[in-house]
Amino acid sequence: MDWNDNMVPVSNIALVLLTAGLVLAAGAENREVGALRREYRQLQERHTALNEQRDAVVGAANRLSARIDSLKASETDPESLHEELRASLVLVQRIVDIDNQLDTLQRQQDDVREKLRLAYDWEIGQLIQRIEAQPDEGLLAQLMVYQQERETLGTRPSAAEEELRYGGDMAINPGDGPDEIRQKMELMEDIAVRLRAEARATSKKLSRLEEEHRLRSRVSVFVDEIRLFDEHLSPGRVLVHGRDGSVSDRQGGESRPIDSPELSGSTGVGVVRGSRQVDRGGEIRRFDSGSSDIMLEIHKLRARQQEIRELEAVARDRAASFRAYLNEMLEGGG
Amino acid sequence: MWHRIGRLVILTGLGCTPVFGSLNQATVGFEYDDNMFSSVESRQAGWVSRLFLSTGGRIVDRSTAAVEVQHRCGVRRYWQRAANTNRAGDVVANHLEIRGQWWPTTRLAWDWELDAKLKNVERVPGEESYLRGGGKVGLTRFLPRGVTATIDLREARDEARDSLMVDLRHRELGMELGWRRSRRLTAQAGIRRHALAYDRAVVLAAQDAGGWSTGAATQEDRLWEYAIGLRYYTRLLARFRYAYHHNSSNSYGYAYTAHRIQLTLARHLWRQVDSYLFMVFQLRDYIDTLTGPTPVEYRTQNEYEQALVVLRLHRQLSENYGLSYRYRSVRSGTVGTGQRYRQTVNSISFDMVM
Repeated sequence: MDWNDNMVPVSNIALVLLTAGLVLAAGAENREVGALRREYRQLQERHTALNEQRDAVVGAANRLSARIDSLKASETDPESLHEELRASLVLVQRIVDIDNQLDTLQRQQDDVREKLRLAYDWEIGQLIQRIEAQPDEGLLAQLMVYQQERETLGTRPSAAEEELRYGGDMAINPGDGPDEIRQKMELMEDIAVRLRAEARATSKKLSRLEEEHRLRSRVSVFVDEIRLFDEHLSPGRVLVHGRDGSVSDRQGGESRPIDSPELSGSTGVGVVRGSRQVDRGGEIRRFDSGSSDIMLEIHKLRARQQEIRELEAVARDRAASFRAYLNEMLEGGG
Repeated sequence: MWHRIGRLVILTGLGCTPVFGSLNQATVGFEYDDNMFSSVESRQAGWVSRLFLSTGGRIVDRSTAAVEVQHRCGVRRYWQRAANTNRAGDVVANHLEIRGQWWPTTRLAWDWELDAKLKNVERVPGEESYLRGGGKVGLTRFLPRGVTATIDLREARDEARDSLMVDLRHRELGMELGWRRSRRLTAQAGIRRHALAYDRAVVLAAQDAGGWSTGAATQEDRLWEYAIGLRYYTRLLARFRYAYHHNSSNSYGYAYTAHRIQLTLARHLWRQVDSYLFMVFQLRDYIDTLTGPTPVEYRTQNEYEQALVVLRLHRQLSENYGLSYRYRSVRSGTVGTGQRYRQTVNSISFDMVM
């Protein structure tokens, strides 16, 4: 087999595939954000259209209701009254249907908004990495656009943030007595304790994810090392038609002459030897995208942990202020 | 061939910046092997130096596309020489992989892979030199409920660099159904057809005289592979795979069926110590019983068995450095004749991870 000659087209095809892959990959950069944005816009449009439809149906129902009231008052045309009542039921049913559709749409919108937030976060993270590696004005402009668009989507506040926001409105009022100040101080301390617990839970989750990521990546290297030296390959037999009856037995690693007439063929001497088999039929090597998923989650959790620590510091700071004010008040009063 | 590989390296290496997700590792160590040359009868124990390098990174890492380059190389240098050689030998292996995936829509993914491997063996019985190049292209369709359907095609060529091996052309077509419950639990079931063309003459059974002779045609095998797999992670990372092989051949004596089980486990134990386990068990049964008044030892040579266990304990010493102990046990060869070898290897290595 002239292997080198046969390899030429294979190699060229490989180069073409590689180049095509790079070009396609570069072109595919921001499609997810674009597609999600389009989907979000479409959902918004449908939401608006459904709202308009609902307004129209509610208007019709109100008009019908007024007519029904007048028919009831006049009691002259019971048949028309029944007919209008049936029509009214139909309208009510339509309103219920539209409300259900609006609920579903709202859920879809929330879902897409969350995906869009994640996609923007991803792209912003990538852009920051690229700008750090090589500053570029175009990338910077793109980053600013992404950040503005990301901000318009807002954030989904967590329970702790909600809690702090509730607590954040608290201030020392001139009319507050020691009891009010103490209650506010204790509330802020409680919030700080809860935030610390959340930080601990986040930290635990983070360390678990880091462990998973470490094991996943290192087990691949561990198996790769075994595969590189062909340590995983199995033995098999090879039938050799030897000329001198002495063929090295690679399985045994030593020469094992076999020249018994029972094994001889018509033109020479038959030899059975073991041989390590060529690597094939193994596990399908799949592109591992799970690693990136885990790392993204780790980055998000780290950011979240930092945020919680800052919130906790704010809560503790505020509790200390309340305590200082309370002490001052009590000392002044005494 | 080398300049082509060089082109691939340059083309991909230019933009190669390791980003998160990639792992670069260097391992240097020694191992004590109680059967260095995988010998059945005359076992020779000794020391072997071992070096392994794995580098890689993503040259493209977008939300809809990624290209990854991995290069692995390793050297095993024997301290003692084998019988009939005047110097100690070594094994040098290089493997370059470039693979990528592109998601044109959320429900479709194209993936491709190119790889080249060169294994060069000098004065080490039991090891074989070869050069391999291959490429793969696949298409995955994401269906509802975490189900995926994949179809892929791979073509590879092996050039034998050893007188006891032959050139090989290998083409495979695979179909696989996958199910992903979450990132932590996935399952696969698939079927693959391998077409193997060996550059060696077919063996013909000589019914009258017993034994065999060679024919004019070259050997062509068709291997069907039916496989199921499971990947699971809680605190233990487990990958299990079972495959049933049915190989038919136009050459006498090569048709066989085989069962192969592969298990990989990884778990964090305590205080920066991780454990890894790799196991393979395979039983291969050749369909053609060698004809003629064959000696007993060849009658029972229809079954080949392989059992491999590799255990590694890794202790992280600092952020980038670690120490590993590795135990490898192999039992391999024919069943029932004693024509099998055992090998136990204990090694210590120093690892650098980036």
